[in-house]
Amino acid sequence: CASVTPGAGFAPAGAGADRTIELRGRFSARTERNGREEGAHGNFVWLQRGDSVQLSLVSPLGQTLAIVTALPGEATLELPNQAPRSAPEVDMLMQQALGFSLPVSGMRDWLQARPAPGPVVRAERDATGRLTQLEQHGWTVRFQEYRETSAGDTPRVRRMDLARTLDGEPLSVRLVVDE
Amino acid sequence: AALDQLKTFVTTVKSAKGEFVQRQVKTGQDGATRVTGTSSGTFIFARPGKFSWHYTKPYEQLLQADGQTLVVYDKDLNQVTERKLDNALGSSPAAILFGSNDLEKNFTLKEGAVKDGIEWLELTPKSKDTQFERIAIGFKGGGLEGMELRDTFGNVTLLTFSAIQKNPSLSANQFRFQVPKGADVLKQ
Repeated sequence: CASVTPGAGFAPAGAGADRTIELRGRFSARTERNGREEGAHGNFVWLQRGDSVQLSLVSPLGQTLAIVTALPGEATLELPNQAPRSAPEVDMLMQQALGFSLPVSGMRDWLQARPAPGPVVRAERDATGRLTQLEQHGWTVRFQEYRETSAGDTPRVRRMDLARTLDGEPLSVRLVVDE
Repeated sequence: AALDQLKTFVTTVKSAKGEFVQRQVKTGQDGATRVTGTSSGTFIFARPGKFSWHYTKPYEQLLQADGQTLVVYDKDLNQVTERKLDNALGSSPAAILFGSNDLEKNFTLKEGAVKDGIEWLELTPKSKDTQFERIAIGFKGGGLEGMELRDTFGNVTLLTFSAIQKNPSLSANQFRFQVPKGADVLKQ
């Protein structure tokens, strides 16, 4: 059930064949720009259906600080009391408006504990075949902790660290998925 | 009415300890409201500008201010973020409950409804760069009962307070934050 009024361009839950994935959790993102550390730390709500993702950044007391809607080739960002902004690339849109970005496109699959489409530089798995580390799209993703699930269920990540290794300033993200 | 109860609260309650339950409330098109998330914990505050807002369920997260710096600590993420307090307090619930500044400066105040004996006061932030559209604070017989936080996207947070002790004796370093060993610190 969506906890936030879906932004523009996001089909309401239940429409269409794909099911909606809803994850809630907490994140911290850190980057360095001209010698100064910058970053953000807060709660998030992640709604995903097919290729479209709506990520809400939420304060501990429950106020929505930003809504990022990412569709293939189009991203929109809504901030309190401001007109929505759009851009083709969600990462660049977030960087400009929020001062940090999250690899939203890769996370569509990484949050489901599987590689995203496209070349995989390196993938390491544990004895049961679950991903422990993945290098892809210029990011290193460490799957730190999984939730208890019964055998045969799709693995559910609880704690994840992401580090951007290629172009752009260093950016490291820590995520914990609560439900 | 609610405004006098708030004024009495601000002048007579210099510090307090208590518990809170926080509910995220969603109103459907049909007007029915449902709770989409619940968390709870304990709080302590001492005017001006010192507070400790500690979530213990469903996870461990702490917001603490010693009058100068606001610290946010998340245990699972092992992350500490520190920020100057003044711009963080601004027109937030903390400013109402724990702050020292007079509210009329940052909010327009209006008597709200009375529901099950609780008198509500509505505070609308004057500044535009805040995520709060409106904050309501509820009193009953001079006691702080609850708060309702409405953001600019229509999300509502309901805070319910209980087990409040007024003016308990608190030690000065009660609000100083000890960075846990190995935790990552980000200064903003």
